Amino acid sequence: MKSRSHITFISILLTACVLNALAHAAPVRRKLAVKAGRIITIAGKDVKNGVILIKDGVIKAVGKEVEIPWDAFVIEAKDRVVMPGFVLAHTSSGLDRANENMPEVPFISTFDSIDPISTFFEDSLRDGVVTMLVLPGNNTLLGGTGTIVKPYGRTVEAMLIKRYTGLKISLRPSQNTSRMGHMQRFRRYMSDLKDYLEDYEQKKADAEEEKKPFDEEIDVTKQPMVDLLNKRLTAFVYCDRAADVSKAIEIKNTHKLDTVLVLGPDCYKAVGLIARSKLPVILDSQLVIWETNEQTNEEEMKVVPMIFHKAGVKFAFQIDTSQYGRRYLWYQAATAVKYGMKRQEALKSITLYPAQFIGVDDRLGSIEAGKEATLIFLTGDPLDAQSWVDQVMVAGEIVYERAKDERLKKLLEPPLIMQEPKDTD
Amino acid sequence: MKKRRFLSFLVILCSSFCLLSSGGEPQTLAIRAGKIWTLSDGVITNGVIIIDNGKIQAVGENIDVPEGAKVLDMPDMNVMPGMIDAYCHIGLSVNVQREIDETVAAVAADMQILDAFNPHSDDVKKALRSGVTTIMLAPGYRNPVGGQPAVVKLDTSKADGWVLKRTAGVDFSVMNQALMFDREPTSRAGLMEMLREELDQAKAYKAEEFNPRREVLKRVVDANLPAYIWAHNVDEIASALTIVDTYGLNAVLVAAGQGDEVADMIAKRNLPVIYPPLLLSSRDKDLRRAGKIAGSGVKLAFSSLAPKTDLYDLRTSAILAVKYGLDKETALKSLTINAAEILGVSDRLGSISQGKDADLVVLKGEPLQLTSSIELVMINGNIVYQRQEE
Amino acid sequence: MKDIKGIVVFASLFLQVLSAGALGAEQVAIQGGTILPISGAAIENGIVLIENGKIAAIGRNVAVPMDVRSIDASDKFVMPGLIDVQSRLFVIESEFNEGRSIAPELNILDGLDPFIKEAPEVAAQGVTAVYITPAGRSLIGGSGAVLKLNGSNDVGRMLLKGDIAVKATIGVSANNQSSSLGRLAQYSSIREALLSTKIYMHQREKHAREMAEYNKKRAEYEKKKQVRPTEKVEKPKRPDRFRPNPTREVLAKVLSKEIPLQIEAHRVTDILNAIRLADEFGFTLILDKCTEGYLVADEIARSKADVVLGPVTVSFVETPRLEYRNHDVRNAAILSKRGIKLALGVSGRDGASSKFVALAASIAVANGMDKDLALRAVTLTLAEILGVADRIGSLDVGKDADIVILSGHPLDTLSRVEMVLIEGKTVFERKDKQ
Repeated sequence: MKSRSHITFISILLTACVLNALAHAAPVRRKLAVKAGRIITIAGKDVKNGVILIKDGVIKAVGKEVEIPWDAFVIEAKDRVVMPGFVLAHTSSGLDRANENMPEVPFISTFDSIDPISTFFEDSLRDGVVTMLVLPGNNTLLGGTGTIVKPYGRTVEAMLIKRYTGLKISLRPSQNTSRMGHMQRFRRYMSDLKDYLEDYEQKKADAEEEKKPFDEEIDVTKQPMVDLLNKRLTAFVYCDRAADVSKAIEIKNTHKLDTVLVLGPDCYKAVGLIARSKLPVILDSQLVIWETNEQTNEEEMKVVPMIFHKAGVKFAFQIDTSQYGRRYLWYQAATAVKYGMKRQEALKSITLYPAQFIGVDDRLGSIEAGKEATLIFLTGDPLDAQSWVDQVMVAGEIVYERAKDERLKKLLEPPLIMQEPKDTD
Repeated sequence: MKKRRFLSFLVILCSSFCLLSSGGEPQTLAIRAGKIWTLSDGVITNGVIIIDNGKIQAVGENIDVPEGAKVLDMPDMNVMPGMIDAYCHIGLSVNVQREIDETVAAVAADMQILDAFNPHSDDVKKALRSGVTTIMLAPGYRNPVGGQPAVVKLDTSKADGWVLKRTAGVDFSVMNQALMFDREPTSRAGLMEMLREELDQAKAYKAEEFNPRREVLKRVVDANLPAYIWAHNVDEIASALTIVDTYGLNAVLVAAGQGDEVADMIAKRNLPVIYPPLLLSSRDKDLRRAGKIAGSGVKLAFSSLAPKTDLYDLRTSAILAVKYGLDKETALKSLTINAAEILGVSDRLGSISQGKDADLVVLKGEPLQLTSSIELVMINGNIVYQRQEE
Repeated sequence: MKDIKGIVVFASLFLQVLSAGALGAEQVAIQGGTILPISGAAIENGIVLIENGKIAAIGRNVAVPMDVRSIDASDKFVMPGLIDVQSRLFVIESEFNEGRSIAPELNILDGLDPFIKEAPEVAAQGVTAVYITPAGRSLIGGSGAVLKLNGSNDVGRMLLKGDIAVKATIGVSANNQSSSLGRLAQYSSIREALLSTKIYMHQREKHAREMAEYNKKRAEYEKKKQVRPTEKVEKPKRPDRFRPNPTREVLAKVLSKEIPLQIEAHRVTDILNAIRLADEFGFTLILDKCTEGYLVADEIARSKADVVLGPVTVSFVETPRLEYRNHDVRNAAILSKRGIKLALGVSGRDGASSKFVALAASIAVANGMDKDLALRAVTLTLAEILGVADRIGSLDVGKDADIVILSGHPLDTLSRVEMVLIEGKTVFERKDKQ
């Protein structure tokens, strides 16, 4: 009798300990309520002093008068502006090498080349980017397939959101090739591919007819192009100059591809053609271009986002990590607003539209019920240069806090004062 | 029409044959032409030019033809003074670039371009039918101080008499092309410094030192010899004007293609401009510049900068300039009398007037009509070219 | 019955008037002035009637419909648009780097940028079409195309006709260096390419026969299988796939005279070699540039090759270049007097120099070429050589209404272009009335 009560007692004690330990180990907050001073939903009007209800990482409700469950963990953010995290629809940064030497390598993937330690990712997170599509560079004809990642994680697998997304085609001729040679190369490749597929189907049909087993697979190096033709992959076509736009559209029409146009700086000249094509567009990072008028010799300013905006073209912005200002998505949006773009539309171009272009808008790009709770907490208006990204939440979990950002702290520390070497003699 | 043309051709052929076969005896020549563009006294219709001893004795409407004179009757033809190409590089060795640009020494003031000239080269022979009778043979623009240009008549058949000026001036350049990476100057500031140094030293030159380079530069600094300064872009022209002002040079701007943008500065200093050939540019805004700069009162002379463009296209430059805004009279002057005045040979060349050399061009059609063919070219009263019927 | 007939007649007339009214906007009449049709004698105080972008009528007595847009051309000259046969307009700089020696399958249209701004200046000088070929560094480069300067931003909408001729070069120097051995090698390479194309054509034909044979046997096999499904029938073997070689395909078209081979040749030996190739392989030869052609005019005349001559004056190109050493501005006159079919081009330093087409013709006239032939050399003869004379090159009924109106004769450089129409639409109109 005594032993049995001992065992019971010890087991209860153990259970209590374990439960306790579990309870303190990783506080899994299943229900969250964010009380924010301003919520930019993107999907609708901004909400002042509103609440976002989150359950299991998914937004349940957002609004002014939202009932907060008793067991929800409340995040006080009265002095914060909360909006969806920024989405970068196209980048070639963060890779070991953006471009391959050979021109036709559709079978390689940025998944194999992403460097998780690259400061590009760290900076992106710090700047409020929560999702990016990393594609091969602009110097390879058929560059390979892209990967959607979040900008944090120790390994690529940890960063991974979606593999095998988008196939990069570049119309910029490689170093010593002419444009004619480049296009001819592309056509040659596609014609060879079509021949290959015909042969493959023929062999298959023959085998079927002879009632023989057919287990030959499509050549793995050609598979991504086949998926492109079957619309399982979207083509991201880089247009180096305005003259390339019509070629990109021709490629799209000839092979019936799902296409997103990635533009070079002077492609605004082809805005009419682009507008008529109704294709999604990713702008070059250079938004303001000065051109000399042929006849008058005067300099004319071209504001690229406005040109496209006026033509009714939907677009997303890109960044340039080597330039101050243009390295931030919010700065790009702010530039557009400065020259007349409507604020709401500009903000969409760094959140909802890029999410749509890369196919993650079911979960990201706006704050609405059903989407992932992936938000950024800003100290002020997103288009205000003084605002900081204070916290980043991904699927209900805080993954970045400025207060704990060591590198940032070091950057903002006052400079060291050089000590005079002491006379030791 | 064809018959008439053939007849007049026959007449010219016969007359010139007589002329050519008359040997060394100087003979008085009378040219009767439909239109004579004198460039000094307007256009004379159905006029006569009397030539003797290689000089123009008289020109006018009603002039008596002297006894025994050979008559060239050309009632349908236009006659104008032989054209002057104010800056070109023909008759040099095959590798023209090497001859006109002394690449080792940046300052080559003592080099005389005439030393590299082959008076019997094919170039020169070909040039005889261009209607250009006198040229300024010049160095290129790759040296801050390029050498000494020479004024030369294209009829080099005789041993002498064709060099009008062995040293017509000194050629300078403030163009960006004068900056090299393997020898100084390598920058504009360096180039200007180099020029100042050379000119300062030239100022202090004394004859006893015997330094040909300094000696000729002293003449430039003393404004006894003109400085021909290559400067095309506005900033280059500004640099050139700085040098001109600092040293009070007697200067001529060469190839000042953008001169129209600073025409007031050029006109203020009374500097003439040797204009680059218009066929080097194809944009409307560049083709209009000649008209603009002349309109601001700057004196122009045309050049072919041969072989950059063909010598024959000297007249093409003038016609294109008129098409894009230059007035006709100025265009004709810029081919003839202006060039003569700028080069300092207007006592002998540039117009059909008494006492000047009998350097003439006969055209079938008006001078500013591009389709006009050149029928006959005369230098010092000798026919050096005559169009053959094919 | 009568009533119905009447109604039908009336209705059809009414509809005709309606449609005429609707199309009335597409009718233009140019009246007065001197018309230079090029294909025939000049017409004083003539009328050109344009309908739907084509020339509907031309002459002294042309009935001009009521509500037609009228252009007064009195005291002016009316002629077909000029064509530059050696243009660089729209060509992107990178295209001059194309160094592959034999690549005729390249399409010049891929190397063009319609957004280049030089076109309006060129059109303002009365040039309505340009023939653009790949630059002369490849031995056998791509095919040339004729584009109209209608102001479109779309190469496709400017294109009049592509695949005009395959461009080849013999003897063009690189870096101003050239050797006889080098030129011999070039000639051999072209010859080899044509020879292997002949072999290719045989193989292609053989494969076509084999496929036909196979298809026949296959049909029989299918039939037998249908009738006697259980019987063992030998299945015919499908021939291996014939991979078309793009290079050889284009050259095959040359050998079968579908498109001409346009060979750029400057020196006498190179011109003679080009003629020798044409004699051996029987293709249609166009001699391009033909700088020393005047020295072998007889041979060229005998060969019946067409000549695209240019630059008329060396001033148009970067000098000095080796191949132009014996350039003579009388070349055009000499060749044309021999009866050789001649087109004149500018062959200038950049795209904008295409505006000098009339200038080039005038210079040729000043140096002995017949005026009419010179004018033809930049319009009708040119169009004929390029195979586009059904559409442009002269003012004839049925051709495109690509028309230039000038203040004076086109060969008078000081004439001003007043108006330029392409397919009846105004693309240029001079504003300043000086």
